[in-house]
Amino acid sequence: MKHTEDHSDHSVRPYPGRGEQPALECPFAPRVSAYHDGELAVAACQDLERHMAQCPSCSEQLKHLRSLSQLIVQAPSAALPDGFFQRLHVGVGSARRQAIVRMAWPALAAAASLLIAFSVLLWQTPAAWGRPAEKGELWEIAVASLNAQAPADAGPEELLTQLIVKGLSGEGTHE
Amino acid sequence: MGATDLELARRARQGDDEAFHELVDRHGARLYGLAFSLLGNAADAEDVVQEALSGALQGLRGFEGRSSVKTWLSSIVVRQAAKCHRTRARHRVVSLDQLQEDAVRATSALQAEGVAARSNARLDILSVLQGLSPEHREVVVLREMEGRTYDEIAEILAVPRGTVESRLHRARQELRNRLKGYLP
Repeated sequence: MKHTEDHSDHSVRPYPGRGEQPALECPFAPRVSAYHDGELAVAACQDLERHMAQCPSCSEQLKHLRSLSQLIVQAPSAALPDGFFQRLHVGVGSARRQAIVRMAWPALAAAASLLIAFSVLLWQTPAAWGRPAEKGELWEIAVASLNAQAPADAGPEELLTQLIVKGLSGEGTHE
Repeated sequence: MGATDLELARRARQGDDEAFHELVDRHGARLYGLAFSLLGNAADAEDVVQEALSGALQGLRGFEGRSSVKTWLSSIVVRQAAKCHRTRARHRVVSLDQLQEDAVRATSALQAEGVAARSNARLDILSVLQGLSPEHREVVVLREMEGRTYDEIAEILAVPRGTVESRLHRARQELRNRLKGYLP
């Protein structure tokens, strides 16, 4: 074939053989499609034009491509169904709301978890924790009170005895 | 002069619903045309556009503006249409052989009708397209019907430009064979 002799001088390179092209197809044939679409560089276009002038197969292919494109371009454009945009906007709005809910859900879940954890903590906290702080432990207060009433020379054993007696007789605090 | 697509996308990303609705108005009809050409069915096409736009709205954060909004939305529609095709194929009662038969019948109708009935025959081009493999149909629709450049098609389909070129060549060969006799 004549065109095969010209390949060495052309900058247009045929596709490397991958076993996908028919054996008899001109190696330049795939480039004709790109040429038809105006997707070849100027130099490559000129090379291919020179090749097509000598290759009936490629020039025929170009004619077919032009007819095919004309045929396809004449296919009717799809008419929009009635209410298309209305439904589209409603659908998009709905998707937006769902997206917001999806984004808000983790934050809501985290807030709810915190609230539950805090409630449980409060529930388990002793009531005394919420009262104003005492100046000391109860036994210390009681001992101080006894000290004030007891004679100055009373020892610790005597003070303890007085505390127990007061507690048993109901005179002391029950706190 | 209104806001550009990129400005609208940026505003929509910041929570401006109106901006996204504006994008829907701008691109809805074109996306429907693309989906219809890929699926050949009005109901599926509308579903696909609806899902694609809803998906786009949720994926706005991931849109970095490296491609145009038009290309970005088209790529979502193409992916969604491919998904719809797969789902349809799984649930369809008719076999793949039946699909092929339908395509052959549509091709024969095209060839039989002749020039006088060409306007009717044009309707069937979409049926013939449906007989192509998804990869071939996508490149033909994007190039011939959408007028996209090879670089844009490569971006939409996430394949190298060379793949677009060879895929388009083979797709046209297949179309030519299917439409043999109808073409001069």
